[in-house]
Amino acid sequence: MVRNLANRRHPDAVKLSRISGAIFNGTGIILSLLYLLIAKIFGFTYIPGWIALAVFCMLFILFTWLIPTLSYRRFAYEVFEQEIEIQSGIFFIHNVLVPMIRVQHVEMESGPFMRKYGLAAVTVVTAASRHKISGLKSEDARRLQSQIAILARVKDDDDE
Amino acid sequence: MMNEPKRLHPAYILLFVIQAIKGWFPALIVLVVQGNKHPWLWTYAAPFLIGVNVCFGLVGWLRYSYTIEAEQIVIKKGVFFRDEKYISFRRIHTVSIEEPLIQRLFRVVKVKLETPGGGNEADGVIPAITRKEAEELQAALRKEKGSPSSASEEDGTAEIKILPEQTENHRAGARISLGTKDLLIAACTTTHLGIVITAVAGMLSFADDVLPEDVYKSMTSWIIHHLSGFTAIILAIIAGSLLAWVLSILFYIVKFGGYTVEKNGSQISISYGLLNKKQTAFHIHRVQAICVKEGWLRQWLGYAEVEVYVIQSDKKENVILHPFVKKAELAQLFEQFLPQYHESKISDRAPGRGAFYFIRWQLLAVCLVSGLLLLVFGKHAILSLVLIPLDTVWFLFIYRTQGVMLSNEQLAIQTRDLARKTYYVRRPHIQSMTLSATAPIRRKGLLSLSIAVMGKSVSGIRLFEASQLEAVWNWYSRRSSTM
Repeated sequence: MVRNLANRRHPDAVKLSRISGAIFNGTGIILSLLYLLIAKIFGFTYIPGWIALAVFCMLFILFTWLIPTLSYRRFAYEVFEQEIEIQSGIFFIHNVLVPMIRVQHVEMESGPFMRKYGLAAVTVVTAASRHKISGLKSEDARRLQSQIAILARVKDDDDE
Repeated sequence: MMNEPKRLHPAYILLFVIQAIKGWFPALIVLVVQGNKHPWLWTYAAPFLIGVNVCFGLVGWLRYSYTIEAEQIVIKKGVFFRDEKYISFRRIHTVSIEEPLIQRLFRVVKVKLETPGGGNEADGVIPAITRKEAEELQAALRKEKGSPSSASEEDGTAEIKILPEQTENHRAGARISLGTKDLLIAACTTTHLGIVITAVAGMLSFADDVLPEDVYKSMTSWIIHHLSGFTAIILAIIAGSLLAWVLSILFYIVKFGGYTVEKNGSQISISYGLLNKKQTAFHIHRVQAICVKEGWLRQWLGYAEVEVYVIQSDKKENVILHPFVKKAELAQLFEQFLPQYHESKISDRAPGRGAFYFIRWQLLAVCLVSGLLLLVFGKHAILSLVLIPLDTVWFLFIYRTQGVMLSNEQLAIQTRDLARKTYYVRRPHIQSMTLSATAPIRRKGLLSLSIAVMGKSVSGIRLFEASQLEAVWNWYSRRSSTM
């Protein structure tokens, strides 16, 4: 785990995560405002509305400013001949090691927003866990997927 | 080979009817409650429903068959929707033979054929066949199971041929069963809390419903009258926990009575249960991990429960290799039944300097809670201050119990929640490994480790020296070997 991992996300991933954070928490802010409006009309208590508004504003700032850059800076991965190592996390930093022979299959996915930026995510699936490498350019993701798929096919002699 | 389709035992019809009645349970309540007011319910509706179900059961029985072919078993069933399953012998990794109550009455068994990746139920279920047929099926499976991957292992059939000679086979054919005395001690040192709580709650509400109202009322009023609030609560707690304990003892005896584990070649079969008899068989190389669990009392007495992680569709059911083994005999148990594993003394413990980081959040939470209590209740809450040292000591204890040990191909991890658990996992069965910590903790040279194993989770260890865990990481990594 002391080794430096060569590959990172595409910088566009930061933009994307900013936008999705803004959309999600922005919706939250709008909904809380809506609640306050309804509360004013029907005479409900304002307290839940204010709390939700405060929380969503805080999250809005965090998820559009701090967290995207942090998670971009923390994320790294590298595919070796016999294993994959992925480093990820925001506060807790995780280093995951997945041996090639334990890989069952490799999935690729891209949502509508991701597609707009030409991004995709690759998920490595073992019999007991899933590991996601997200924020890759679509063509890089496809290449990574087939690379892992080919490497994973080779049998390891210490498999009993 | 016996290639003609075989039918189940006719007991299947009764099983079907009972299953159907279970599904009709709400209607049954209506029948019991309203039956006296509307006699036609008893005279027409109920017999009609039962009649229909018996007919369905009969037709279902006629159309339920299984065929043992050269390399697979075919199970066909269904009245309207035909369901045909082809299960290749090679994919079957566990055969369990169960004897639930009704099957026992007819002296038949239920066979479950487990394959990897099945849903919640086992892939192939044969609800009622005679024991002889079940054993034939098992034998056929064992004979046909010459999978290329297990060619190097001695398989069941080969073992039978050479059984009488060689001392090694003495080890290959081991058998252990739990004596009455051990069963009793085991029962007394366990608590199946969840089951006990539901049982007690059920009994209380039952008493509320069944006892005549005035009796119930006079009982409660007597209790309220003669005992002051505090003693009543304490008495109730004592009585409740005693009851719970006795129930859990009974439950344990019923569940694990007649426990036997046997090894035949590389096949382990475990059977237990007084009412619902269960038998599970699996190949020793299907074992993904071992968990040795010592509860408080048991650790003190020097006993442990040994659970094996085998991939199974029935995830709720643990496969217990030995419910109550002497710690001193553990090494021998491993050697006899799972020779690829070995008991290891765990010497690599969590370092002292991580302790503060381990307990700080819990400590903060407890301090907040007791502070809040003091604020609200004033002097009365002074006792809650006791929580702070108790919590500290407890979490320090948990922290210090953690340990890790590497030996050859095996990783041993020790942790504690209430019971002390020691996991043994072999390198090929670790699906992935994770090291984690926050950035400031990493800078202090501390790390946490967790691993993923098929079937069930293995608890991780937290806040060890980075060097300790990097040794585990490098042992697991395949990169060093290529460079």
